[in-house]
Amino acid sequence: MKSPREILLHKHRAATPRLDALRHAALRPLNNKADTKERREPRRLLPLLWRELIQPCRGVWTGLAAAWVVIICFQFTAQESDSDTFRTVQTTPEVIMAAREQRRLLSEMIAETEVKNIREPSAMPISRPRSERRITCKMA
Amino acid sequence: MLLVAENPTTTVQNARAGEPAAWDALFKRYQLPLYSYVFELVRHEQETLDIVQETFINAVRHLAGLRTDEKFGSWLFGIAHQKCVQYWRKQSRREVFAQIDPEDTAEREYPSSESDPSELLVRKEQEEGFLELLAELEPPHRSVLLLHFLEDFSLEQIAEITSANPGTVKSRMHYAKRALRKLLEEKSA
Repeated sequence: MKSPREILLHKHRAATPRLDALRHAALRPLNNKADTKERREPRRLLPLLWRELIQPCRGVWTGLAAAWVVIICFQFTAQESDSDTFRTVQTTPEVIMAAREQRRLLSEMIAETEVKNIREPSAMPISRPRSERRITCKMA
Repeated sequence: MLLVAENPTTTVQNARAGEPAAWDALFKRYQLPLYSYVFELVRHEQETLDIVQETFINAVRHLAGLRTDEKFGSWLFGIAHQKCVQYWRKQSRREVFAQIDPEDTAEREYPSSESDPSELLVRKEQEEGFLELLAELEPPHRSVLLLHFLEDFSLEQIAEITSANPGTVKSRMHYAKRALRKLLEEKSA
């Protein structure tokens, strides 16, 4: 048993290929429109940018580009000279000796100061005014 | 069981945006029921194809006139129905769809069971007879029954499609189904 809809659609199903052709024909203008739109859009943007942004101020853009090139070159050369200087300082023997001498003097100074600090609290007179008394703290 | 496109509202929205794929899906969904409807009314193959093509072209051009996306189907059939009426007028069969039905003169209550399309099932041996009986109905009754059978349109939707008032549609439906059922029963007996 079939419904009336099934009977009717079955009766006319042979027309389907013609209906498909008809449908495609009716939608051809839409398909053409969609294709044209797709082809245009990516191309439109780049020439528009060139025309509106770059071309009117070519001199300015060239000057800016040249300035950036100079800056980048200067940056590279400055980095190279810094690294050269650093290497030179490291390898000179005089510098090494001077650094060692400095360290020795510093350690002598520190040792003298410690000895001074240990002696001074016992030699302090009681009669001296308070402002002259040195308060020593023994650091543990 | 009726075939319904997935997300028909979304498809219509995409069609409004001009997507060819959306239009293709919509027309593919409705092309055969539309063709069946028009053919059963005008009974001429080439005219039917012309009317269906014009319906598609008009739908693409005038989609902005559709207010509710859910009503795309009834709107499409409405365009096709108007083209059928124009065809009938050209064939000098004026006022075919404006005939006053004798049933319309009195207000009647029709049983609700009459409006259920799934009730009517036709046996295989009765299929040919069913189609012949359908062709014998007057065009106004035939169009109401076809819209009801093919797309399960409601009385209100059929009234919009045929530019008739719902009372007229109801009476035509009742009369047409009664006549069809009676003749099918006679044939089976």
